[in-house]
Parts: sequence; C-alpha cells; structure tokens
Amino acid sequence: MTFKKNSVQIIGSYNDLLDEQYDLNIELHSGDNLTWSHCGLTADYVAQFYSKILPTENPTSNEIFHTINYIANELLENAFKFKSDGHIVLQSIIDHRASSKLTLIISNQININQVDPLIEQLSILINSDVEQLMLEKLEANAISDDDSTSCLGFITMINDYDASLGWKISGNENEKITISIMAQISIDNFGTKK
Amino acid sequence: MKFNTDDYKVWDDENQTVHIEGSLRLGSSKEYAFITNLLHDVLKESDNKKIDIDLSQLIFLNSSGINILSKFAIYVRKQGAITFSVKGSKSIPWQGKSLPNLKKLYPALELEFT
Repeated sequence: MTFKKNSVQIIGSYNDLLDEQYDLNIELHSGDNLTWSHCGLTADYVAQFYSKILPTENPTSNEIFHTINYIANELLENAFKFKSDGHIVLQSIIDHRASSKLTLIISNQININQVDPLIEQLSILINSDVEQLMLEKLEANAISDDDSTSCLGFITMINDYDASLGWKISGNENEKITISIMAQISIDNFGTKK
Repeated sequence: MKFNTDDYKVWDDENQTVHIEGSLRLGSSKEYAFITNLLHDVLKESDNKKIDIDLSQLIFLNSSGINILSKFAIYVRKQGAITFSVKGSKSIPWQGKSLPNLKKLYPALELEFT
C-alpha cells in the first residue's frame, strides 16, 4: 500500500499533546553546526533534566537516568541519520498520574521515498515477537554489509528497555513528510530486565 | 593496539583480552570497524582459540555498538571451539539489559558480571 501525500498514518501507540504541555521542547536546527555528537549531548541533557525530579535512591536513579539517556540517544541518532531537510524536534513529558510515565517524541522530515519501506518494516515489527525478531535481525546483520535499515534501535528499545513505541507519519500537499516517533516508558517499572 | 579519545579507550592486552571503556556512540558498523578489526586480530593471534572482552568500564553503548558485538559473537559461534568470555559490570544498567542477548546468539559464551 502506497503512502499518500496529504495523509496521516499511525503505527503502534501514539497520542501527542499540545506543545505547551511538554516539559521540554528542543529544536536542533539543521546546518553545519549540528553534528552527530550533538545527539549524545542532547540525550545527556534530557536524562539530567529528569534526574532532578525523579527518585534519587540508588540503584533506581542510575537505572532511570540510563534508560532515558539510551532512548533519547537512539531516537536522536535515528533522526540525524534519516532526516531529509529541516530540524529535529524533541519533546518530552513525565505524567505522574497512576504509574509515572515518561513520553519522548522526536520529529523530523524524511523523503517520500523512505516512507513505504519504513511502514513495511514497522508493520513487521509491531506484529512480531520482538525478542525473536531481534535475534533474526542480528543474524541477518551478521551476514550483510548493509545493516542500516534493520530497525535495531527500535527493537532494542522495546526488547531491552520495555519501551512502548509509536510512529506518526504525516504528509502535506508538497510531499513534505514528517515522522514523529513516540517512546513511552513507565518510570515505576525499573530494574534489570534479565 | 590502542585507541584513545576523550570519550572512549579501546586496547588489547597480552592475555587475549580486549578492553573497551568509556562511552561509545559511533554512527555505523563502518565507524566501529576499528573495534571489529581488533577483535578479529586478537582472536587470530590466539590461533582462533580464545578471546575475552572486558566491558566492565563501558558505561554507554548505542545500538550500532551492540550490533557489532553481536556480529562478533555470531562469527565466534560459527568458527566453533573458541573460548569466548565477556566481562561486564552489575552497576552499569545497559549491560544487564543487552549483554544477555549475546548469550542467546552464542550459548557457549561465558558472561560474567562483577
């Protein structure tokens, strides 16, 4: 099925908020001054920001810090690698109702010819046993020189960090496509997974 | 061999152990090639018998890095009869989450958390 310009497609769990409701709203502007290392720097900032307001007793604080750091880093690296023009936007919020939940959304533009292959990969991802898919992708990457589109970052976030992911792909009249990736993690649910 | 930057240190010692320390957030398998090559070189130096990787000081590794370690574990599995161990740290969160996947790829791997 071909993605039609001027449409919106949602895959997975996705529900965004109004801009003013976020704790953080960071725009990284494309250009010569934006480099790969800014992904890690920004991810470090997001984790440190939330470390000021989340539980401080060890080892939980170390676990929470790292989870936020890892997920923000993966999403930012993904945006940096695959964006076409325009900025990378990071938005985040912690919802303290019921079990505290951190929501991170990274948005960037992509080319229209990236959309259909991506939707196909994501459809496989959300309909698969993630651990099994991870092992299959790692085996496939081991015999291939090109592992750039393996979705491994998404798979590690779901399998290793219990993140819930969702994707919103929206296009306009001019074939400008924006992808927003939402990662949600429960802050109450920390500990070594295995 | 030694590779030192402000972010990470990678080197091998005389006991077929490759040490990887610091924080690794490189962009692709190509950028991690220096580590992949070192792992293969150290394994060859032992006549394909033994290799250890010490990650106990590696506080961050992105998914591209996890990918190259996984590729190496699969390579070792396919060679057969190699003593392969990975040392990690209980106090580094990513390791408890992601390193057990290496053992799923290569069950004979000795994975130790200190």
